[in-house]
Amino acid sequence: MKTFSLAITGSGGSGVVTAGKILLHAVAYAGYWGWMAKSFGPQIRGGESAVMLHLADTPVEHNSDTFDLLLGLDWHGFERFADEAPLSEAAQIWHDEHTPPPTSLSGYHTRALPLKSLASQVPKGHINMVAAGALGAWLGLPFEALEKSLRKLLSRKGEEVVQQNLQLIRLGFDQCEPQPDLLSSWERHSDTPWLVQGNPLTGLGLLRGGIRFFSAYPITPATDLSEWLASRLPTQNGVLIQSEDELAAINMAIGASFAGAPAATATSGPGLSLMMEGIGLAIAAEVPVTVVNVNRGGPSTGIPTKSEQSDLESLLLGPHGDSPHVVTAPLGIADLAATAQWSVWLAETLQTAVLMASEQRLAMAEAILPPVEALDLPTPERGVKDCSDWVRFATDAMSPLPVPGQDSCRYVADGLEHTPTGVPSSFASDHRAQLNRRARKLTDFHYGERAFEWDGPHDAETLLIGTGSLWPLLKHCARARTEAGHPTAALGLRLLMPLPIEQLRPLLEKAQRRRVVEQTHGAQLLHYLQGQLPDIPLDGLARPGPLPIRPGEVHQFLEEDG
Amino acid sequence: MPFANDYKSDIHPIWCPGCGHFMVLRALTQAMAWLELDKDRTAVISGIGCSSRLPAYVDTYGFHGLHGRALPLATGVKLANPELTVIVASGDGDAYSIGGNHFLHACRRNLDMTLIVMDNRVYGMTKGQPSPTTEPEWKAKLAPHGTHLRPFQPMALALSAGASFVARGFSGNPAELSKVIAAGIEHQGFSFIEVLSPCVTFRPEELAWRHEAAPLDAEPTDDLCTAMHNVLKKPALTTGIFYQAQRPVWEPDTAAHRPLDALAEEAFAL
Ligand SMILES: Cc1ncc(C[n+]2csc(CCOP(=O)(O)OP(=O)(O)O)c2C)c(N)n1
Ligand code: SF4
Repeated sequence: MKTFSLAITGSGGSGVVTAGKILLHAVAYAGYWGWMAKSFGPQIRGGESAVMLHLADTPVEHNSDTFDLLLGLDWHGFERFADEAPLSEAAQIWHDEHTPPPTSLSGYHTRALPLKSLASQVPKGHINMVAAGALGAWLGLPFEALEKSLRKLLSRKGEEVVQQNLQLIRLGFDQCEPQPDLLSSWERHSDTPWLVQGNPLTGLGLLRGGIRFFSAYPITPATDLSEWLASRLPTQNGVLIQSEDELAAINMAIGASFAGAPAATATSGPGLSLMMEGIGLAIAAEVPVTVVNVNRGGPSTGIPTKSEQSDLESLLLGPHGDSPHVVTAPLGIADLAATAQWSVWLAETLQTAVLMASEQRLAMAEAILPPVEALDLPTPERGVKDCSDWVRFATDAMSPLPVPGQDSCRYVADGLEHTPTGVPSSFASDHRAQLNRRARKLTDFHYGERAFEWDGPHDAETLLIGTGSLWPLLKHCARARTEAGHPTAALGLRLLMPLPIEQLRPLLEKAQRRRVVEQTHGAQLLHYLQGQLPDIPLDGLARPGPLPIRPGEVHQFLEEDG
Repeated sequence: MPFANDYKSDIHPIWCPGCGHFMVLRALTQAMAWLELDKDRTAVISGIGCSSRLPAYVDTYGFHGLHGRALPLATGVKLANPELTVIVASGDGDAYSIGGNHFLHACRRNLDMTLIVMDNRVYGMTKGQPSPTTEPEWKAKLAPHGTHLRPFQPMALALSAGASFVARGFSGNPAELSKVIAAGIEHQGFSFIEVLSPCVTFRPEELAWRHEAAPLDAEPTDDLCTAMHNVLKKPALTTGIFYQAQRPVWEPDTAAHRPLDALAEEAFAL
């Protein structure tokens, strides 16, 4: 696999993200693969920002260890972000001729470009476009790819704007010669890939799952999932509402679902905490609802713009009382749609709350991917044809959910413990029977092959276990180690709760060492898995965000681990 | 024509004998009977409290949800299934304290639903703590010297927040209350009905309300200033419809149907 990683940094408003988008789109048009992570400071406008592009000749979703090139549109606030872009020894630093890089970057090969003076040749010219052109040429992208990319991103602003920017890109493009060992020598694909953003792709998955109602309160980094749905859900005959808070968001979704519409909401850590009582209600009253949690740095308001996996214990254990529910996690960016669709399907099928563990790193990423197909899942039906012998909470069977206004199965959904017909009850026998019902409907269900992914030899001596954004990385590390003569496999958990213990046990038992890799401070996943599989020795690498876990870190951990 | 009893379920209320909420149930089911509501197309939604137990006692669809969250629950129900007649049963703690924010926003959205708050100026279910409408000097275990807080004026709040039907009823006058509730249900938009409903166990002195309650000596108005004047100036136990106006009901966005594949292509294909 051929790869190249570059980072572009600059203060907010310098156009870092636009430059990154133009390059990533051009890479896609030219027939290569790649993905882009975005990093923002806490400021709303004007703070530092950076994009990190990972380009490859095959579909790629993991971080590289180091960056081969760093371009500074300016260096304001760079030190706050420097850790996120470790440079390789041979890395190049590009900058405008009048803004040399900070001394912390001395020792690297630098290249000064006349970005500002070229930009000033075009009215309202911005240096980010010149830089994108220069980088594009140097990487070996054809000019047409950059032009297509620009048109795709800017044509809604009118031809005049397109022409101005095209001129800027051309000025930059003419500054550099293509590097023979870079993209122009890579194998190209002839697919027609997608260029996705994580949150919108999650939104597509929710639509494919059949949601007809979505309520949410804005919170970084979940907001643009809601924003993406705002104009699309109505085209599916669905309703979207901005609620007054997360307490309302979850309760609106539950109400809508009770009334017949498959429903979802999305939030991030602080909002998840506010939703917890509602999630418990959905579990107790057996109302299907899907909650997408886009994990940011926690606890409390934490680091809103950066990523972590530290909401895991909240997702697993947050609701009070005995509250069995489902927790899913997307395995990488491409899996966001499928896992969202599956989550809605599970919620509908099992009539409970399904919490999906997304992450900032996935949600804010943009990636070139093969088109993401919808899962072929049967459509769960709402409605009861004959209500005469229908029992809402029978102790031995699931029953379909009636649609009020359509079916004559009048009942009262209740968070209070209840009898099989839904009448509030504090009898021990009813409590036990209903607890059993709510637990068993989840544990008896056959989740199928989607529950986890395996990559690598079945007789691997080392097993890397993880979920979410770490799955592509673990796959990559396992393959590299196997190639180096240490048979290693990766296990990605898409279904975190209920954990498919029976299927996992033989796989785990076979390996000699099992290492859980996660982005938390408290080793939350390790402790959860160990609690579920107490007799299987597990160990792991747990590190909090916001810096992503990189391949070298995993390799080093395994080396030191013996 | 159906009878009130036809709308009652066969579950016996857990309320204390003499609790005002019995009469609210009576008046509500009477209003349902008058309006001949289709039971399968009616949903009674509540939060938590003695008052919020009501859905189980009505033979319609119902949801007994979380303390304070009846209104968002009902908002979801109404938006997902607009054909349903949605009635929300709440208490003064449920609606004005823990659910206070939702109360304001539900008024503002003006969705077509009816909120009945059974106000006994106390938390009944948790055994006698002051609520946002309790008198400042009323003493309780949790407030041995009283709260010294000015009570909320929920009807004034509802008017300023945008409710399009604002009324007060009294459980001791179920005949009038039924009419007010029926008018609230028929009104297009958010109907807020404050119902004075004595808690005989923790506020037995409220039984005296029956000597003080008196009907409003004015017709319903759609003039906000007049309504506000009446709400603030008339004695606290004045019953009747204080305000009724036509105001736009919040409508979610709609759009022509588009195939999902087309949406996906448009968003993600190069
Ligand atoms: C989240 C939460 N907090 C507290 C409670 C306890 N609680 C139950 S009912 C209630 C007050 C109910 O008072 P009100 O709404 O006035 O109704 P009433 O019982 O007087 O009819 C409280 C505080 C609860 N059930 N849930
Ligand atoms: S405690 Fe008060 S409000 Fe509750 S049922 Fe008894 S009398 Fe009614």
